[in-house]
Amino acid sequence: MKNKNVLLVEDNLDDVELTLRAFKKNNFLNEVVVVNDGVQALDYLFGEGKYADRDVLNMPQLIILDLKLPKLDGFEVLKRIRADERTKLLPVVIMTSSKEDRDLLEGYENGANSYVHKPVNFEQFVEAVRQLGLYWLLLNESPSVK
Amino acid sequence: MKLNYWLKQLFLFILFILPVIAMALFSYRYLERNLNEVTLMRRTAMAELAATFIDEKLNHLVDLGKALATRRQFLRHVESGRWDDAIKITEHVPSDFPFISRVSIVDIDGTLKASTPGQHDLVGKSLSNRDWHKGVRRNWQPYVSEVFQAMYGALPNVVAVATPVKNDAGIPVGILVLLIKLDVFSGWINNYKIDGTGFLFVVDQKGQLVAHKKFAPQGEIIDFSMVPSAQKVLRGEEGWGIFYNPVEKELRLSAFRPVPSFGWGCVVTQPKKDAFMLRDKVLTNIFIGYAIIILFSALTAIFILKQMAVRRVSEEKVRVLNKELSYKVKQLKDVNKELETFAYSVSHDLRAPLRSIDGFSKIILEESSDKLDENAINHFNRIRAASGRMAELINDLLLLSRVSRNELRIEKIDLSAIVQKISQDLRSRQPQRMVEFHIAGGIFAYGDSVLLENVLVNLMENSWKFTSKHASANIEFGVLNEGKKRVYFVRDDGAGFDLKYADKLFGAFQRMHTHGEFDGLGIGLATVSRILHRHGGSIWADSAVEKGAVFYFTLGDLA
Repeated sequence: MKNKNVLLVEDNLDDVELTLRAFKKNNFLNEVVVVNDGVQALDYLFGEGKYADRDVLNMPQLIILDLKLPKLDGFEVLKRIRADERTKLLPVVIMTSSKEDRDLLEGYENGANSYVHKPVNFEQFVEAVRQLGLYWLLLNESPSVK
Repeated sequence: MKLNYWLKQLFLFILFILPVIAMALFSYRYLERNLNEVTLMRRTAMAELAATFIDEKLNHLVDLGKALATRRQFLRHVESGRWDDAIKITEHVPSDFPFISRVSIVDIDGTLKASTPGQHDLVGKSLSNRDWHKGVRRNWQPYVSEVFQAMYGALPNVVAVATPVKNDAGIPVGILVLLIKLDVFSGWINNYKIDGTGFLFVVDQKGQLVAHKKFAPQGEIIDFSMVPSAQKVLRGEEGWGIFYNPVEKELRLSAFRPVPSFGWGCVVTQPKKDAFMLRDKVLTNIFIGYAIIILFSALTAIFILKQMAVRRVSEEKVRVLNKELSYKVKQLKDVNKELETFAYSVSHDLRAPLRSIDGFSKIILEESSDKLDENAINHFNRIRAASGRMAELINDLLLLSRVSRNELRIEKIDLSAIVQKISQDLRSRQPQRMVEFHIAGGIFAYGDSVLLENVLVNLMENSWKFTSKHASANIEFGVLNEGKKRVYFVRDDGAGFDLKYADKLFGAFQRMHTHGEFDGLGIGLATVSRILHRHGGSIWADSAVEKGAVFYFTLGDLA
């Protein structure tokens, strides 16, 4: 597996733990960078704040984005990502507890590539992550960033 | 403001009433005019008739005189001065013609020569100053005199008809005088009666009364020349008038007509108020009638105006109610919005901790199972099961609230296809179970596809659950056509339930079996019931313990 990293934007620490475990269980060896709010996510992507030293040319292969985030909510982050030349083509998968139709619609309208519902059941959760990873990290061809 | 309103009301009222009043006035005037005309015409006609009659009668007398005066013998005698012989010939006249009271012969100078019946004191005396003599002498033509008092016997009031007696050469040789007592004329006018107080009177060429209901013919000779109607008729005028009669001292309606050839006049007279009594009676009735109509119209106008006012008030009320209504609707919308927000946060916030509970329990089981004993493992499994149930509960709660909130999206749905899909899904979950599905095909209905799918999933899952204890099972879906209503059903031959508790079946959180017997939540059927009611339908069940269960449901006519 190529060493492409994944940016996980999630404020719930339990969910972070479970997601990382799910990755491990599925033998995805990619580095998962975790940020806990929307501002940090953007800082990371654009090399600002505490991520000022990051090499911004090395964009993540996949962004897993939760919706309910402190400071800046998921849709705002998504909009900013899509607004910037450097990041507008990055695959963004929204992974959220919400099953609401309007969240789904708004997600797609703002340019999300995929919308996945976080199951409560852990086995199902692990399976969902597996499917995600298989598709977005292996099967899917990401556009190269200039 | 108030004044303005009342002014407007008054204006409308007048507008409404005015045509009625105008019409009433107009037709009243018209009637009055007509009735007047009728009254007057009757009297003028009567006067005309009377005048014609008098004229005829006088002509008759004149003719009689002429006839007598031209008899050969009589003429010979008069010519020769043989007065007594001449009068002898005319002796029969008074008895033959009762209205002639005396016949006299006078010479051309007016000296009375002979008279019959009986003696006349004035024989030999000159009567040249008499009106009849003057009248005859004018043209030597027959003449009807004015009324005068005769100088014989009882000195009666008479009228004289004087006829000249002419010889063959046409030269007058004497005058034949016929005296008519006024009683005769009085007798004639008695035939003329008009409405009680009305009567006819006749005046001579001097305006003296010839005949009058109120004056005896042989009483004093009454001079009516001052009476306006007599004055008019003597001037030769004809017509009618309302005059103040100085003799009778009252306003009278008089119709008058001259008797032209004789200078006399006929007057039909009546006190004005009597003459117009009938007219007045009719007009009074009409007036009352119209008054009633106008009153009625006024009341109607008032009523209508009142109704309009009432309508205005109720329109105002409606406006106020509408305002209140839209306020309440807004409140409801706000409440709904709050509910939506609540449901949203529930779906998000409650699931996350559940995921943690389930997730970490699983991880512990996987990674530390060697460190755990059987009990601990069991407990963790229970934890996982409980969190799973809670997740489903949250889903159902959300669904229940969504059902009440949203609008139904009505379309034609293939129920058979949905049931088929559900059956396949169930089978794939537990492929080892021996369950036969009997699904009637081609069953379509109108409703919200998402919600109805939920209903069928619920019912099918129930059947699936409650047949799980049996080695093999049958689950059926179909429709009954009970008269006009289509009744859909899902039937199974599973554990069934006691109908005694049937009324609790569709309440939220009610369960027919204990927790351990069958996995499952009590909320499903409450949701199902709610969905069906929103479709205008209903649901009921039939069952017996260990005899399976049937759930029947109907849908409203939403086509």
